[in-house]
Amino acid sequence: MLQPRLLAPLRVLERALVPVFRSSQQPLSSPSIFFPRTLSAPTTTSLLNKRFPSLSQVRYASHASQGTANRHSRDPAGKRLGAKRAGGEYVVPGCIIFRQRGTKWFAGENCAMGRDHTIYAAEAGYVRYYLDPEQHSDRKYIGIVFEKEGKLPAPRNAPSRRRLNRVAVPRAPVVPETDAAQSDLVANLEDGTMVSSVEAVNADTGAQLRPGYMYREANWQIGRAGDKAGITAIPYNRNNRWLAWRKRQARADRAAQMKSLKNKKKASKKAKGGR
Amino acid sequence: MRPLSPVLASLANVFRIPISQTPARPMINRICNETVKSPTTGPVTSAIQQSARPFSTTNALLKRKGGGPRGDRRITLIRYFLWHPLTPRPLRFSRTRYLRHWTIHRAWQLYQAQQRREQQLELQRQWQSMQSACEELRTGAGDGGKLFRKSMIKTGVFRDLVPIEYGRLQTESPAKEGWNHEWKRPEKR
Amino acid sequence: MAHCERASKPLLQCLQRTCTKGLPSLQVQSARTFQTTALAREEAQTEAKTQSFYKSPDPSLVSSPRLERRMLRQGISPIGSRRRRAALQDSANIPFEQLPYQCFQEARKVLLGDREEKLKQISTMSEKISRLEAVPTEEAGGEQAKKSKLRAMELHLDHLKILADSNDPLVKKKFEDGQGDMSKPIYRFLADRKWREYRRKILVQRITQMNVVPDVLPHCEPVVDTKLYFGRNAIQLGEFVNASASAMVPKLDIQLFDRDEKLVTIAVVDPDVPNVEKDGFDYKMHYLAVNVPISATSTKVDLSKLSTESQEILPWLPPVAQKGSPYHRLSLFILEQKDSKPLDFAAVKAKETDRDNTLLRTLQARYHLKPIGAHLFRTKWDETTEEVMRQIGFPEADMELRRKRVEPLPYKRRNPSTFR
Repeated sequence: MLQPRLLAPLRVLERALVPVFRSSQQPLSSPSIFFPRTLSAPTTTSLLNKRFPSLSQVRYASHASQGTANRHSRDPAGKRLGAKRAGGEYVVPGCIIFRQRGTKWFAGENCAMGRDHTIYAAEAGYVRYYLDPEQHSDRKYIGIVFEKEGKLPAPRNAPSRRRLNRVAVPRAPVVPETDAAQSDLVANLEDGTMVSSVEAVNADTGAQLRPGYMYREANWQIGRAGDKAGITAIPYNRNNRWLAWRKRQARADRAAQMKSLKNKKKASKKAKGGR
Repeated sequence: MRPLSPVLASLANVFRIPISQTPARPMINRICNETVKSPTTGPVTSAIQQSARPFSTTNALLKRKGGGPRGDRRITLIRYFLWHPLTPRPLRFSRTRYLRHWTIHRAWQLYQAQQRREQQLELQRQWQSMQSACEELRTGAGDGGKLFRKSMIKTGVFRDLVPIEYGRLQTESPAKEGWNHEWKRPEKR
Repeated sequence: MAHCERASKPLLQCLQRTCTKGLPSLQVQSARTFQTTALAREEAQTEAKTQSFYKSPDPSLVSSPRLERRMLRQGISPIGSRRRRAALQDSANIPFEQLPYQCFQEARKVLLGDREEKLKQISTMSEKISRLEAVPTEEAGGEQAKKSKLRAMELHLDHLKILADSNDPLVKKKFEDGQGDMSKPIYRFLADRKWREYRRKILVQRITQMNVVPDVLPHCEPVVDTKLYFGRNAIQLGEFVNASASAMVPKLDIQLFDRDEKLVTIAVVDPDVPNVEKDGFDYKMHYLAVNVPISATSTKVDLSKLSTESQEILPWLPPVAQKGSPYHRLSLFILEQKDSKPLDFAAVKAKETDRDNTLLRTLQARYHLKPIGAHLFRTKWDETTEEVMRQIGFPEADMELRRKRVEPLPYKRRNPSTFR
């Protein structure tokens, strides 16, 4: 099993071990019996395994210590992580402040954390990197203050400082929704006329050449046929256990049938494969 | 499968409904689907019922390929196994019976607390009387506390007086191995 | 089943009559029966002598579907399930304490013995307290020492009172039915424990997560249970309330868990009034009333019914949110007045007239108030807001808030020529 050249180091090992065995193992006295020269390699290793189980785990030099030829091909490109804005720098909402893997920094005041833990600004202001031992003992936070000399963390019981960031404009009246007939192919002109092509209107509703080479309505319209015709279903009565029982039985029957069909198919397939 | 009740069986016979054997444990994905569907269809159908009930009662979302909103799988499984017919039903008491149970439980707890307290007090009493005796020996024996000091020397207490094997807490039940008849006092050096 | 039950009913009744007559102790004890239905049943039996059961069926006993239907037509709905009513018809009418279960009776004996002991301890403790009160201050070791001693003893006495009743199943049942008498310490204790188990946790979480506590008041450690109603609708903590619903004056249910009566100040503050010039938010006091008495037994406070001469300082102003403004938190605070002494209404009324620039922090410092309860709801723009704005004459009713455009940072070339 082992290559012949592998045996060379093993033999060296044997030679080193023999005196040890001789001294400790009196009953197995003769070294010639213990290590006959003619012993084939696998038996030697198995014997060694029995006495020194750890020895069999040795990785020999042939694979691992060859040194990697293309180390740099496995070294990925840098991901350009780290701080994008320094403390005290001015940022606007959405401005990325810190890119990171995991939460090295947490989003403090007026900041938010993105999907990949990126810290970005939620308000315009000046970046602050700070610790807040009252909130958490060992988390580092990134926050934004509104003034250039502002300080973070803010005192625990002070009212929070917020900005409105809104302007007052006259309120627009609510426009009622226009008809559904209005689409990009159908339009109402100002003078009250409706411009549309007949085909465009019928395209959605009428019969058309559909997959399967037949003129028919769309599937969803077929599904709504009952609704259009005004057919109403009898409401399901929970207390009608007899109906429920019949339905359940029918379903179970159908399931059993399908199962048996499936099994038949499988069995026939198997028979084919066997042949 | 449980056998059908005679009434149902006769009805099925009359209406020519074949009675088939359903599996004892329904397939799990079927159950999952049912449990997922049942809460979602409920409000929808009821909402429709107020207006004109349409032809189809199935939610459009449910009919689509992906299925409706799937609940948490763990919750579905918990519900499935909790309400499976082979799961024993929870223990339910009537109001009075629960109150009786509670009364007995409280009384038992009270009794145990009282017992614990008694034991504690007894231990305290023993310790205090021992301490007062020692104090008496120290001050009232008239030898300047020599006897007390001698008595406080603990060297060789267990070796010379009582075998160490006996210096254990007295227990209510015998030891596992019983009496050791071979035991001899170790030779004094 | 119904037929044989009907047939056997008089016989059963006869048997039960003789049974109860045969046991005098039962009759004596039946004054304190456990189940109200059983009581009703007894009454029904006495009625049965004069009138037949079919003429006037008892809603707690009727079990045949025909009679039930007849009762429903009369507008009386039967009580409980049919199975239960049928079982009640032929059950022995034994009060709860005398149910013939050996273990239960033994347990009751143990509990009663413990209660006796506790009662004895209570009497000795109260004697001790009265003796200590009689001792002059100099002998007791100074005023401070006497006070602290008395305080500790009273606390212990309260604890003993709770311990004496806490093992009574009837007390438990009454509390669970909501019939507990809040003037008794045991029911107050149970109610407090129940409140702290869930509702208080929710309250504290909401007011801290929505930043009401640092925004309106620096601290709040709620000790009273507060419920808020608009009309008949109870408002969950932090719920969005329609403008039309909150236009009416709310009602409060303030459950105190202490024995003594308290005078409180009630304030409703909105910390989110948008201020476009300042580019920030203002406070607005929507309601303020002082000297409102609350106690453990009288919990209902109707804010519209408080007297304008001695209690209500700022009447209710319906909260509205301008379109486009972030949601408004309407926080209600219940503040205990110092030593339960009434504030001078006229002076407060003269001073606190401005709704806009009255901070609750200032009031708290000025009148030595201590927050003991809180509630919270939110409003935002909805369809009814416009109507309410018109009714109250809101000044900027036809204005709408829009997001301000953010000026982007100047473009900075990522690799200027110096990098190359």
